[in-house]
Amino acid sequence: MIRYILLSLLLLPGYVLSQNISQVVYFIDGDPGFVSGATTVSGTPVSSSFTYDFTVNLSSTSDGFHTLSVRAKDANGNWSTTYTAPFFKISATTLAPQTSLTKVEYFLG
Amino acid sequence: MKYILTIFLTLIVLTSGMAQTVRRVNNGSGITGTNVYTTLQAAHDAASANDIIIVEPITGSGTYGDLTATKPLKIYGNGYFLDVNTELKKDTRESDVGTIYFNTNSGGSEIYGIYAPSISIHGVSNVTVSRCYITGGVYIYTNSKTGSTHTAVTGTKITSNYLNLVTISIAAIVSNTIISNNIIDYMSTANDNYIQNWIVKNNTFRASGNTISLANTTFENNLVIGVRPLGFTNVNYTYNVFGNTGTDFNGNKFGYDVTENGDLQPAGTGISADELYQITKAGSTLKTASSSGEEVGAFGGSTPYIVSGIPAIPSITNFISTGSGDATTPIKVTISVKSNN
Repeated sequence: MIRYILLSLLLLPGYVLSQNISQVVYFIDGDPGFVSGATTVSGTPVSSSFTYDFTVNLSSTSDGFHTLSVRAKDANGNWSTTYTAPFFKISATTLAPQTSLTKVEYFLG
Repeated sequence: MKYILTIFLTLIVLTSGMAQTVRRVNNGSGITGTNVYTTLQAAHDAASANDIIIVEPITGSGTYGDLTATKPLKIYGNGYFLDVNTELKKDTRESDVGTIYFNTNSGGSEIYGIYAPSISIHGVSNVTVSRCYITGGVYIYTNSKTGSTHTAVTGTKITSNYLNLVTISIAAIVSNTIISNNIIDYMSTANDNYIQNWIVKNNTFRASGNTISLANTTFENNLVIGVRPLGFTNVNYTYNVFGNTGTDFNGNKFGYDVTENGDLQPAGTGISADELYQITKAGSTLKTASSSGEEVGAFGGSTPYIVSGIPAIPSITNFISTGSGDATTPIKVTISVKSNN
Protein backbone atom coordinates (compact mmCIF):
# COMPACT_ATOMS: atom_id res chain seq x y z
CA MET A 1 0.00 0.00 0.00
CA ILE A 2 2.79 2.40 0.88
CA ARG A 3 4.32 1.81 -2.53
CA TYR A 4 1.05 2.77 -4.21
CA ILE A 5 0.79 5.91 -2.12
CA LEU A 6 4.33 6.93 -2.96
CA LEU A 7 3.73 6.20 -6.63
CA SER A 8 0.57 8.30 -6.55
CA LEU A 9 2.47 11.13 -4.93
CA LEU A 10 5.04 11.07 -7.70
CA LEU A 11 2.36 11.14 -10.36
CA LEU A 12 0.54 14.13 -8.92
CA PRO A 13 1.61 17.19 -10.95
CA GLY A 14 1.77 19.37 -7.88
CA TYR A 15 4.26 17.11 -6.24
CA VAL A 16 6.41 16.24 -9.22
CA LEU A 17 10.00 17.31 -8.72
CA SER A 18 10.71 17.44 -12.43
CA GLN A 19 10.71 20.91 -13.95
CA ASN A 20 9.63 19.94 -17.47
CA ILE A 21 7.30 22.20 -19.40
CA SER A 22 3.82 20.72 -19.17
CA GLN A 23 1.77 22.95 -21.47
CA VAL A 24 2.10 25.70 -24.07
CA VAL A 25 -0.99 27.65 -25.12
CA TYR A 26 -1.76 30.42 -27.58
CA PHE A 27 -4.61 32.81 -28.22
CA ILE A 28 -5.45 35.54 -30.70
CA ASP A 29 -6.12 39.10 -29.45
CA GLY A 30 -7.80 39.35 -26.01
CA ASP A 31 -6.53 37.14 -23.19
CA PRO A 32 -9.15 34.53 -22.25
CA GLY A 33 -7.49 34.03 -18.85
CA PHE A 34 -5.34 31.23 -17.52
CA VAL A 35 -8.11 28.76 -16.77
CA SER A 36 -9.57 28.06 -20.21
CA GLY A 37 -10.14 29.54 -23.64
CA ALA A 38 -6.63 29.34 -25.03
CA THR A 39 -5.54 26.66 -27.49
CA THR A 40 -3.05 24.10 -26.26
CA VAL A 41 -0.09 23.40 -28.54
CA SER A 42 0.57 19.70 -29.05
CA GLY A 43 3.95 18.36 -28.05
CA THR A 44 5.51 16.30 -25.31
CA PRO A 45 8.56 17.96 -23.83
CA VAL A 46 11.27 15.62 -22.68
CA SER A 47 13.52 18.06 -20.90
CA SER A 48 13.53 21.43 -19.20
CA SER A 49 14.04 23.12 -22.59
CA PHE A 50 11.80 22.39 -25.55
CA THR A 51 10.94 23.82 -28.96
CA TYR A 52 7.44 23.63 -30.37
CA ASP A 53 6.41 24.06 -34.00
CA PHE A 54 2.76 24.72 -34.64
CA THR A 55 0.36 26.46 -36.98
CA VAL A 56 -2.43 28.90 -36.22
CA ASN A 57 -5.53 28.55 -38.35
CA LEU A 58 -6.93 31.93 -39.39
CA SER A 59 -10.11 30.79 -41.14
CA SER A 60 -12.33 32.32 -38.46
CA THR A 61 -10.18 35.43 -37.85
CA SER A 62 -11.22 38.74 -39.35
CA ASP A 63 -9.00 40.42 -41.93
CA GLY A 64 -6.36 42.89 -40.79
CA PHE A 65 -3.95 43.25 -37.89
CA HIS A 66 -4.20 41.06 -34.78
CA THR A 67 -1.97 39.80 -32.00
CA LEU A 68 -0.86 36.26 -31.29
CA SER A 69 0.10 35.51 -27.67
CA VAL A 70 1.81 32.43 -26.25
CA ARG A 71 2.73 31.24 -22.77
CA ALA A 72 4.01 28.10 -21.09
CA LYS A 73 3.37 26.23 -17.87
CA ASP A 74 5.77 23.98 -16.01
CA ALA A 75 5.11 20.77 -14.15
CA ASN A 76 4.68 22.68 -10.91
CA GLY A 77 1.85 24.73 -12.40
CA ASN A 78 3.85 27.95 -12.78
CA TRP A 79 3.04 30.08 -15.83
CA SER A 80 5.53 32.10 -17.84
CA THR A 81 5.06 35.69 -18.85
CA THR A 82 2.93 35.96 -21.98
CA TYR A 83 4.76 36.77 -25.21
CA THR A 84 2.74 38.70 -27.78
CA ALA A 85 3.53 39.42 -31.44
CA PRO A 86 1.44 41.10 -34.15
CA PHE A 87 0.33 39.35 -37.33
CA PHE A 88 -1.72 40.27 -40.40
CA LYS A 89 -4.65 38.32 -41.80
CA ILE A 90 -4.67 38.84 -45.54
CA SER A 91 -8.08 39.21 -47.11
CA ALA A 92 -9.00 36.78 -49.81
CA THR A 93 -10.50 39.71 -51.69
CA THR A 94 -7.67 42.14 -51.15
CA LEU A 95 -6.67 41.86 -54.80
CA ALA A 96 -9.32 42.17 -57.45
CA PRO A 97 -9.47 39.09 -59.69
CA GLN A 98 -7.41 39.33 -62.86
CA THR A 99 -9.47 40.15 -65.95
CA SER A 100 -8.79 39.35 -69.58
CA LEU A 101 -7.42 42.00 -71.94
CA THR A 102 -10.09 42.90 -74.45
CA LYS A 103 -8.41 45.38 -76.79
CA VAL A 104 -5.05 46.79 -77.92
CA GLU A 105 -4.92 49.96 -80.04
CA TYR A 106 -2.30 52.21 -81.66
CA PHE A 107 -2.25 55.69 -83.22
CA LEU A 108 0.09 57.85 -85.28
CA GLY A 109 1.11 61.54 -85.10
CA MET B 1 -2.11 2.58 7.32
CA LYS B 2 -5.48 4.31 7.45
CA TYR B 3 -3.80 7.29 9.02
CA ILE B 4 -1.30 7.59 6.17
CA LEU B 5 -4.08 7.38 3.62
CA THR B 6 -6.13 9.95 5.50
CA ILE B 7 -3.22 12.38 5.68
CA PHE B 8 -2.51 11.86 2.00
CA LEU B 9 -6.12 12.47 0.95
CA THR B 10 -6.36 15.48 3.25
CA LEU B 11 -3.27 16.94 1.60
CA ILE B 12 -4.84 16.54 -1.82
CA VAL B 13 -8.09 18.16 -0.73
CA LEU B 14 -6.30 21.05 0.97
CA THR B 15 -3.98 21.80 -1.92
CA SER B 16 -6.68 21.47 -4.57
CA GLY B 17 -8.73 24.00 -2.65
CA MET B 18 -5.95 26.59 -2.81
CA ALA B 19 -6.66 27.66 -6.37
CA GLN B 20 -4.89 30.88 -7.22
CA THR B 21 -5.90 33.28 -9.93
CA VAL B 22 -3.06 34.36 -12.18
CA ARG B 23 -3.18 38.02 -13.15
CA ARG B 24 -1.09 39.93 -15.66
CA VAL B 25 0.28 43.45 -15.62
CA ASN B 26 1.07 44.72 -19.11
CA ASN B 27 0.82 48.21 -20.61
CA GLY B 28 1.48 47.17 -24.19
CA SER B 29 -0.76 48.52 -26.91
CA GLY B 30 -3.67 46.19 -27.58
CA ILE B 31 -2.90 43.91 -24.62
CA THR B 32 -6.31 43.34 -23.05
CA GLY B 33 -8.45 40.53 -21.73
CA THR B 34 -9.37 38.66 -18.60
CA ASN B 35 -7.29 39.62 -15.56
CA VAL B 36 -4.98 41.95 -17.50
CA TYR B 37 -4.12 45.28 -15.84
CA THR B 38 -1.97 48.25 -16.74
CA THR B 39 -0.69 49.00 -13.20
CA LEU B 40 0.59 46.77 -10.44
CA GLN B 41 -1.69 48.40 -7.90
CA ALA B 42 -4.76 47.69 -10.06
CA ALA B 43 -3.79 44.02 -10.29
CA HIS B 44 -3.29 43.91 -6.52
CA ASP B 45 -6.62 45.58 -5.81
CA ALA B 46 -8.44 43.05 -7.98
CA ALA B 47 -6.61 40.09 -6.46
CA SER B 48 -7.58 37.79 -3.64
CA ALA B 49 -5.10 36.67 -1.00
CA ASN B 50 -2.46 34.29 -2.41
CA ASP B 51 -3.13 35.15 -6.05
CA ILE B 52 -0.23 35.31 -8.49
CA ILE B 53 0.63 38.51 -10.36
CA ILE B 54 2.94 38.31 -13.35
CA VAL B 55 4.42 41.72 -14.11
CA GLU B 56 5.40 41.58 -17.75
CA PRO B 57 8.07 43.59 -19.55
CA ILE B 58 7.10 47.24 -19.71
CA THR B 59 6.49 49.23 -22.87
CA GLY B 60 8.00 52.73 -22.80
CA SER B 61 10.23 54.43 -20.29
CA GLY B 62 7.90 54.56 -17.26
CA THR B 63 7.00 52.06 -14.59
CA TYR B 64 3.95 50.09 -13.54
CA GLY B 65 3.70 52.42 -10.55
CA ASP B 66 4.06 52.02 -6.80
CA LEU B 67 2.37 49.22 -4.91
CA THR B 68 0.99 49.28 -1.40
CA ALA B 69 0.25 45.63 -0.71
CA THR B 70 -2.39 44.74 1.86
CA LYS B 71 -2.77 41.04 1.10
CA PRO B 72 -0.33 38.18 0.58
CA LEU B 73 0.60 37.73 -3.06
CA LYS B 74 3.24 36.13 -5.26
CA ILE B 75 4.64 38.63 -7.73
CA TYR B 76 6.91 37.66 -10.64
CA GLY B 77 8.80 39.91 -13.05
CA ASN B 78 10.91 39.25 -16.13
CA GLY B 79 14.40 39.59 -14.63
CA TYR B 80 17.12 42.14 -15.51
CA PHE B 81 20.37 42.59 -17.47
CA LEU B 82 18.57 40.73 -20.25
CA ASP B 83 19.84 43.15 -22.88
CA VAL B 84 23.21 41.49 -22.23
CA ASN B 85 22.05 37.97 -21.45
CA THR B 86 19.85 37.75 -24.53
CA GLU B 87 19.86 33.97 -24.56
CA LEU B 88 17.72 33.86 -21.41
CA LYS B 89 14.55 35.54 -22.69
CA LYS B 90 13.05 36.46 -26.06
CA ASP B 91 11.68 39.66 -24.51
CA THR B 92 14.67 41.35 -22.91
CA ARG B 93 12.83 44.27 -21.31
CA GLU B 94 12.55 44.61 -17.55
CA SER B 95 9.42 44.70 -15.40
CA ASP B 96 9.91 48.19 -13.99
CA VAL B 97 7.80 49.11 -11.00
CA GLY B 98 7.81 51.96 -8.51
CA THR B 99 8.37 51.56 -4.78
CA ILE B 100 6.86 48.43 -3.27
CA TYR B 101 5.38 48.69 0.22
CA PHE B 102 4.44 45.45 1.94
CA ASN B 103 1.94 46.94 4.37
CA THR B 104 -0.41 45.55 7.01
CA ASN B 105 -1.91 42.13 6.16
CA SER B 106 0.54 41.45 3.33
CA GLY B 107 2.65 39.06 5.41
CA GLY B 108 3.72 35.95 3.50
CA SER B 109 4.11 37.82 0.21
CA GLU B 110 6.85 36.86 -2.22
CA ILE B 111 8.37 38.96 -5.00
CA TYR B 112 10.79 37.80 -7.70
CA GLY B 113 12.42 39.17 -10.84
CA ILE B 114 11.28 42.78 -10.44
CA TYR B 115 13.22 45.98 -11.19
CA ALA B 116 12.37 48.47 -8.44
CA PRO B 117 13.86 51.54 -6.76
CA SER B 118 13.15 50.17 -3.28
CA ILE B 119 11.11 47.64 -1.36
CA SER B 120 9.78 48.40 2.13
CA ILE B 121 8.49 45.85 4.61
CA HIS B 122 6.13 47.53 7.05
CA GLY B 123 5.49 45.52 10.19
CA VAL B 124 4.66 42.26 8.41
CA SER B 125 6.36 38.88 8.63
CA ASN B 126 7.46 36.13 6.27
CA VAL B 127 8.03 38.39 3.27
CA THR B 128 10.43 37.06 0.62
CA VAL B 129 12.32 39.39 -1.72
CA SER B 130 14.35 37.39 -4.21
CA ARG B 131 15.99 37.71 -7.63
CA CYS B 132 15.15 41.40 -7.86
CA TYR B 133 17.23 44.33 -9.08
CA ILE B 134 16.69 47.01 -6.44
CA THR B 135 18.52 50.18 -7.29
CA GLY B 136 18.06 51.44 -3.73
CA GLY B 137 17.47 49.12 -0.84
CA VAL B 138 15.24 46.83 1.12
CA TYR B 139 13.90 48.67 4.16
CA ILE B 140 12.51 46.85 7.18
CA TYR B 141 10.14 48.76 9.45
CA THR B 142 8.17 47.53 12.45
CA ASN B 143 5.31 49.97 11.94
CA SER B 144 2.79 50.13 9.13
CA LYS B 145 3.27 52.57 6.27
CA THR B 146 1.34 55.30 8.08
CA GLY B 147 0.93 53.95 11.61
CA SER B 148 2.95 54.50 14.76
CA THR B 149 2.29 51.16 16.49
CA HIS B 150 5.23 48.80 16.27
CA THR B 151 4.92 45.02 15.92
CA ALA B 152 7.53 42.28 15.74
CA VAL B 153 8.68 41.18 12.29
CA THR B 154 10.03 37.71 11.66
CA GLY B 155 10.88 35.38 8.81
CA THR B 156 12.04 37.95 6.25
CA LYS B 157 14.06 36.43 3.40
CA ILE B 158 16.21 38.64 1.19
CA THR B 159 17.97 36.32 -1.23
CA SER B 160 19.71 36.43 -4.59
CA ASN B 161 19.08 40.08 -5.29
CA TYR B 162 21.25 42.71 -6.98
CA LEU B 163 20.81 45.70 -4.70
CA ASN B 164 22.38 48.60 -2.91
CA LEU B 165 21.59 48.04 0.75
CA VAL B 166 19.47 46.50 3.48
CA THR B 167 18.53 48.82 6.31
CA ILE B 168 16.11 49.10 9.21
CA SER B 169 13.97 51.57 11.08
CA ILE B 170 12.53 49.55 13.93
CA ALA B 171 11.15 49.79 17.45
CA ALA B 172 10.18 46.16 17.92
CA ILE B 173 11.99 42.86 17.51
CA VAL B 174 12.99 41.82 14.01
CA SER B 175 14.06 38.21 14.15
CA ASN B 176 14.94 35.20 12.04
CA THR B 177 15.93 37.24 9.02
CA ILE B 178 17.91 35.53 6.26
CA ILE B 179 19.99 37.63 3.90
CA SER B 180 21.84 35.37 1.51
CA ASN B 181 23.39 35.16 -1.94
CA ASN B 182 22.89 38.83 -2.73
CA ILE B 183 25.23 41.09 -4.65
CA ILE B 184 25.05 44.11 -2.40
CA ASP B 185 26.85 47.27 -1.46
CA TYR B 186 26.29 47.48 2.29
CA MET B 187 24.00 46.95 5.28
CA SER B 188 23.00 49.48 7.87
CA THR B 189 21.51 47.51 10.73
CA ALA B 190 23.90 47.85 13.64
CA ASN B 191 23.66 48.70 17.32
CA ASP B 192 20.08 47.77 17.63
CA ASN B 193 18.98 45.31 20.30
CA TYR B 194 15.76 44.74 18.44
CA ILE B 195 17.68 42.65 15.92
CA GLN B 196 17.67 38.98 16.86
CA ASN B 197 18.87 35.85 15.09
CA TRP B 198 19.84 37.25 11.73
CA ILE B 199 21.81 35.15 9.28
CA VAL B 200 23.84 36.98 6.65
CA LYS B 201 25.41 34.34 4.49
CA ASN B 202 27.04 33.92 1.09
CA ASN B 203 26.67 37.50 -0.04
CA THR B 204 29.12 39.37 -2.22
CA PHE B 205 29.66 42.90 -0.99
CA ARG B 206 30.75 45.10 -3.85
CA ALA B 207 33.70 47.42 -3.38
CA SER B 208 32.59 50.69 -1.79
CA GLY B 209 33.40 53.00 1.07
CA ASN B 210 30.17 52.33 2.95
CA THR B 211 30.21 50.71 6.37
CA ILE B 212 28.75 47.23 6.77
CA SER B 213 26.83 47.62 10.03
CA LEU B 214 25.33 44.59 11.74
CA ALA B 215 24.23 43.45 15.18
CA ASN B 216 23.35 40.10 16.76
CA THR B 217 23.99 38.29 13.50
CA THR B 218 25.69 35.21 12.14
CA PHE B 219 27.87 36.45 9.28
CA GLU B 220 29.32 33.58 7.29
CA ASN B 221 30.79 32.71 3.89
CA ASN B 222 30.56 36.26 2.61
CA LEU B 223 32.98 37.89 0.19
CA VAL B 224 33.70 41.51 1.07
CA ILE B 225 35.52 43.17 -1.79
CA GLY B 226 37.82 46.07 -1.07
CA VAL B 227 38.72 47.81 2.15
CA ARG B 228 35.82 49.27 4.09
CA PRO B 229 34.64 49.96 7.64
CA LEU B 230 32.95 47.15 9.57
CA GLY B 231 30.46 48.11 12.29
CA PHE B 232 29.88 44.75 13.97
CA THR B 233 28.13 44.47 17.35
CA ASN B 234 27.78 40.96 18.71
CA VAL B 235 28.31 39.48 15.28
CA ASN B 236 29.56 35.91 15.05
CA TYR B 237 31.57 35.98 11.87
CA THR B 238 33.28 32.97 10.41
CA TYR B 239 34.69 31.88 7.05
CA ASN B 240 34.39 35.23 5.34
CA VAL B 241 36.92 36.76 2.99
CA PHE B 242 37.64 40.45 3.57
CA GLY B 243 39.64 43.00 1.66
CA ASN B 244 40.34 44.65 5.00
CA THR B 245 43.71 44.07 6.57
CA GLY B 246 43.68 41.98 9.74
CA THR B 247 44.68 38.72 11.31
CA ASP B 248 42.96 35.60 10.06
CA PHE B 249 40.77 33.83 12.63
CA ASN B 250 37.77 31.49 12.75
CA GLY B 251 38.14 30.78 9.07
CA ASN B 252 38.00 34.48 8.23
CA LYS B 253 40.59 35.59 5.72
CA PHE B 254 41.72 39.23 5.75
CA GLY B 255 43.64 41.38 3.33
CA TYR B 256 42.52 39.46 0.27
CA ASP B 257 42.54 41.47 -2.95
CA VAL B 258 40.29 39.88 -5.59
CA THR B 259 41.56 42.28 -8.25
CA GLU B 260 45.18 41.45 -7.59
CA ASN B 261 44.40 37.74 -7.53
CA GLY B 262 42.23 37.87 -10.64
CA ASP B 263 39.49 35.70 -9.14
CA LEU B 264 36.44 37.28 -10.75
CA GLN B 265 34.93 37.13 -14.21
CA PRO B 266 36.65 39.74 -16.41
CA ALA B 267 34.47 42.31 -18.15
CA GLY B 268 33.68 41.70 -21.78
CA THR B 269 31.00 41.43 -24.42
CA GLY B 270 28.08 39.39 -23.19
CA ILE B 271 29.07 39.71 -19.53
CA SER B 272 26.41 41.37 -17.40
CA ALA B 273 27.10 43.46 -14.30
CA ASP B 274 26.13 40.61 -11.98
CA GLU B 275 28.24 38.05 -13.81
CA LEU B 276 31.31 40.16 -13.00
CA TYR B 277 31.09 38.75 -9.46
CA GLN B 278 31.35 35.10 -10.51
CA ILE B 279 34.53 33.45 -9.33
CA THR B 280 35.90 32.08 -12.57
CA LYS B 281 39.62 31.70 -11.91
CA ALA B 282 40.59 28.04 -11.83
CA GLY B 283 42.04 27.07 -8.48
CA SER B 284 40.94 30.30 -6.81
CA THR B 285 41.31 30.31 -3.03
CA LEU B 286 37.78 31.67 -2.86
CA LYS B 287 36.33 28.44 -4.27
CA THR B 288 37.19 26.51 -1.10
CA ALA B 289 37.08 29.23 1.55
CA SER B 290 33.57 28.66 2.96
CA SER B 291 32.67 26.79 6.15
CA SER B 292 31.88 23.68 4.08
CA GLY B 293 35.01 24.01 1.96
CA GLU B 294 33.05 25.45 -0.94
CA GLU B 295 32.79 28.81 -2.64
CA VAL B 296 32.26 32.03 -0.68
CA GLY B 297 30.13 34.87 -1.98
CA ALA B 298 26.84 35.15 -3.81
CA PHE B 299 27.43 32.31 -6.26
CA GLY B 300 28.29 29.81 -3.51
CA GLY B 301 26.18 27.93 -0.98
CA SER B 302 23.07 25.84 -1.44
CA THR B 303 21.06 28.56 -3.21
CA PRO B 304 23.47 30.34 -5.53
CA TYR B 305 22.70 33.74 -7.04
CA ILE B 306 20.69 33.46 -10.26
CA VAL B 307 22.14 35.50 -13.11
CA SER B 308 19.70 38.16 -14.38
CA GLY B 309 17.23 37.32 -11.60
CA ILE B 310 15.31 34.83 -13.70
CA PRO B 311 12.38 33.74 -11.53
CA ALA B 312 11.38 30.09 -11.10
CA ILE B 313 8.69 30.21 -13.76
CA PRO B 314 9.09 29.13 -17.40
CA SER B 315 10.89 31.40 -19.86
CA ILE B 316 10.08 31.91 -23.51
CA THR B 317 13.54 32.00 -25.04
CA ASN B 318 12.63 32.29 -28.70
CA PHE B 319 9.63 33.05 -30.89
CA ILE B 320 9.55 33.00 -34.69
CA SER B 321 6.40 33.56 -36.74
CA THR B 322 5.65 33.89 -40.43
CA GLY B 323 3.73 37.00 -39.39
CA SER B 324 0.87 36.76 -41.86
CA GLY B 325 -1.59 34.29 -43.30
CA ASP B 326 -5.00 34.05 -44.83
CA ALA B 327 -8.09 31.91 -44.61
CA THR B 328 -6.32 28.92 -46.09
CA THR B 329 -2.71 29.61 -45.14
CA PRO B 330 -2.10 29.39 -41.40
CA ILE B 331 0.62 31.24 -39.53
CA LYS B 332 3.61 29.03 -38.76
CA VAL B 333 5.14 29.50 -35.33
CA THR B 334 8.25 28.16 -33.62
CA ILE B 335 8.55 28.77 -29.90
CA SER B 336 11.31 27.69 -27.52
CA VAL B 337 10.57 27.47 -23.82
CA LYS B 338 12.62 26.63 -20.77
CA SER B 339 11.67 25.88 -17.20
CA ASN B 340 13.61 27.42 -14.32
CA ASN B 341 14.27 26.39 -10.75
